[in-house]
This record gives sequence, structure tokens and C-alpha cells, in this order.
Amino acid sequence: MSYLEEFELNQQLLEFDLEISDDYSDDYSKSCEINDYKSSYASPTELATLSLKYFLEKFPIPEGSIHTAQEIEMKDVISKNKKIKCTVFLSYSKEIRNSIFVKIKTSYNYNGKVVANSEGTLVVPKN
Amino acid sequence: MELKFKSIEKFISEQKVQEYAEVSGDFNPIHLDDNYAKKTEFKNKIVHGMLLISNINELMFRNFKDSWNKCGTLKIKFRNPLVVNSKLITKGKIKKIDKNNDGTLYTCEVMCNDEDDNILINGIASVLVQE
Repeated sequence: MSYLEEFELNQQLLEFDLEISDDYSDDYSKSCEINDYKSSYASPTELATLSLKYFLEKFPIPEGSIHTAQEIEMKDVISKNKKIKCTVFLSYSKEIRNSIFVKIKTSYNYNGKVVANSEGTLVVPKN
Repeated sequence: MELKFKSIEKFISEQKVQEYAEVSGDFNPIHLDDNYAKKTEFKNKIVHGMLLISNINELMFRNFKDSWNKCGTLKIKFRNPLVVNSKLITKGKIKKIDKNNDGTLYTCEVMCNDEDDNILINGIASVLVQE
């Protein structure tokens, strides 16, 4: 079976709680060699990176896949050390030749309000 | 009008790629395993795309501070891979400034290049700075 083939478009793939802790933020900044980065708010890319980690635990991306695009939109502040709810959807899937073009959208909610969105595009080799 | 940001130059080492694999959970062998990478079209291990994007995040935070974390938007396309143990140059410039009742919206062209000036990733970052 090809990657995510069992899911319909706009079907929810995953839901989880995520928290950008001070420790995670320090590890992220260190791994990316970001200096002078002090904020009480989560940055767009650390948010997308941590949610990717949760996603990959459940849906490992097949070898040979290529990440071709990424969008992240912050709609409000996301304070560090606060839990937010993440909902992941399959937003696009199309088979072209021997590959499947897949878009995975994540919505980040705090207190029932959408505070950010992200969408990654992958090209996954067909089995 | 085009206002250029001060660029960021870094050397992306194997150690940084390993550390990024740990924070992202992305242990794809294309990033970490020499023997695997040799058999791919890239012939070498390549840096995670999201690690490249983190440098655009850094560029925008340097210039817009918490406004970037509060209401930044990023649309990036991946053009070419960066081989591990290579230099990375992150650049950006303001392309447009729009003032409205909510504040000032800065639209910026951003990119990461390798040392031969090949574009690795590029796109648009925009941020609303509230007065």
C-alpha cells in the first residue's frame, strides 16, 4: 500500500497535544546554531519541527521521499510551556508517474482558537 | 525599494545534522548514513530541509523580534539539496511595505544559497508589525 493511501482527502490523520518547553527550545536553537534567540514565544519553525517529530512517530516517511515545500502561518502568539492541540490532515494527494504528491496540513489550536497553520509538501516514491 | 538584511553564514556539520535529527525525529538515512547516501542521486548525505528553513526563521527573528513569532508567515520551496559539511548563506530583503490600521506589513524575499551561490530554498516571509 502506498503512503497514506488508506486516507481520504481532508481526513484527520492525527491529533496530539504539543508544548514548546524551554528545554526543547534550547535544544532546537542549539541544533540549528541560532544565537541570540531569546523569546517567551514559540517560533514558527520550532513549532513545525516539533509537530513533525510527533507526525513521524506515527507516519514514518518512506525512504526516497523529497520535501518540496513548506508553509507556516502564525495567527497569534504561542507561549512557551503551554499545551496546544495539533490536528493533522491529509490536504492533497495525487499520483504522478511513479510518485505520489502529498500535502499534510497541521492546525494548531489554543483555547479553541486557531493560532497557527502549517502545510508540508512531499513527493513520495510509489511502492 | 529593496532593503537587504545582513546575511547569515554558517557551516553545517555532521554534528549539527545529527543534533537536528534528534530534535525533529527525522532519522532518514539520506541525512545520516554515508553508505545509504552514496547510492542515491545526491551521492552524499544532505541536510534536512527544515534545518535550512530554521536559518530563515533566524534571519526574520533578528530583524523583527517577537513580531515574527507572533504573526510571521513563511512560504518556502526547496530547490536544491545542501550536502552535509558545507557552507550555507541565508539572505533576505524587504520587497514591500504596506501600512494599514493593524500595523505595518513587511513582505520579504528570503533564500538560502550554497557557497557557489546556487539557490537551495527560497520564498516569501511576511510579518505584521503592530504599532
